[in-house]
Amino acid sequence: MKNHLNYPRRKEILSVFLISILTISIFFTSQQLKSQIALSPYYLTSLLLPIPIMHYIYFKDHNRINSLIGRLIQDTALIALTCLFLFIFLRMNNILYKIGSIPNLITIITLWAIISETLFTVIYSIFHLTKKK
Amino acid sequence: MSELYKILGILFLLAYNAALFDYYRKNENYPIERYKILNESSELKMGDFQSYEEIWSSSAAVIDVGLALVKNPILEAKAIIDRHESWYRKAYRESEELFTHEVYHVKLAQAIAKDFNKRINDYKYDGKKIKSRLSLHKRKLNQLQSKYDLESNHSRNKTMQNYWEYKIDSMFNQDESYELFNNVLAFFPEKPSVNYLIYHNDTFLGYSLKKKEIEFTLWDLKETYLDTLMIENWSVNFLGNQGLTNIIINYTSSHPNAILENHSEDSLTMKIFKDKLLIDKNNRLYYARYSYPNNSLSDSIYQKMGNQYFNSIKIDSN
Repeated sequence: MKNHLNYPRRKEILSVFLISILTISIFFTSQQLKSQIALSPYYLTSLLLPIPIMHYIYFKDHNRINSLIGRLIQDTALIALTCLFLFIFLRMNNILYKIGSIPNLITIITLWAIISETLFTVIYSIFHLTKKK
Repeated sequence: MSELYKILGILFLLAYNAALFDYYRKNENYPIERYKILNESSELKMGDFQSYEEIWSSSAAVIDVGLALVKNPILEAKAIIDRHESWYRKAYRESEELFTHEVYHVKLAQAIAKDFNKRINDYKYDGKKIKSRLSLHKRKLNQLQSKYDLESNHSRNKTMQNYWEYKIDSMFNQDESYELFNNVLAFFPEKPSVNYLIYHNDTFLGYSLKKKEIEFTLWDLKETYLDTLMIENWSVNFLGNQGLTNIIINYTSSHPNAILENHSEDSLTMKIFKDKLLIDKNNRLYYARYSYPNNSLSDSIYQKMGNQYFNSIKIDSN
């Protein structure tokens, strides 16, 4: 029982950890590129990728797509971890003012996760329905 | 996906982020200082609002201003702005009223710092005493800042905003009484400018200060009118020529040098004029005027400012 509960948890935590850092990397890379070269204003859409990647990793790990409740739990963990990492990173480098405050940080990350997850769910549902037909 | 790949991915991304930030640090051009130390002449700029706006706040702007001790070369108090805690909503960037409101938050801190420095010099405080007194002045500043926001409703209450601007300017310049004419002293919240009064064929030298809708003026009428009826006629004609109506003349003014005071209104500009005719020991006349918007709801506040101005006029004080 213990092994059964522990094994998937560690897997999922690692996935969330990886995706969280990937999100931060994409964000800071885009910010750096923005200051160096002219970027299309749609560059932020690249931030919609991490959550589908996280669900793809789950699919590869378990050979099935995560349920909606499972995805929401994973998203919540991702929000918490991303907020924590970003807070540590911004605070350590004394640039927290660029995002305003902790409530701002939580709001933006939550909003990002909601948009990303909604898009994924809609696209997945459409794909699933088409496949059934 | 194997756990090893995930761990390797995490390590790679951590290293990538570290390199990215190192690159950012090396290429950052002219990083802006977090704290701006203000001198008496320093002004607030839009660039001082460095922080990103608060999403959940109902405020349109926040300025974090405080007091700090600076050794240069002696210990003195300075007003400081924490740029990382100050923000301004983009939608209000064009609002002059709001920016002025924030400017006066800064000016209030500068006034408190100026007052503190004066006390340091007057009472010859030592380092220990200065540090202990600093907390008192910080508390006083915080209380005044809150009161300013509350009473002016963050610049929404225009009358109270005008009142606080007058009050803060007065606090800032409290030691500066301008000697306008020979033996005539008056307190203006800021340095007044020269204002000539041209009436009939005469030109009279005067000084005035206009702050938004209120105006303080003092003219030297040079001439001497000793006859009461003549003075009354002159006043009525003077006001009538300016198109002022509802003239009320009062001979029992509380000012020691006033021989007459009058109230008049301008129905076009919707302004009220309060004038005092003052006389010195050589029978020389001065005309003091205070004008403000005609609004019955805020009349008492404007009158308070006017009374302070009239009471500050000292004639023959030496």
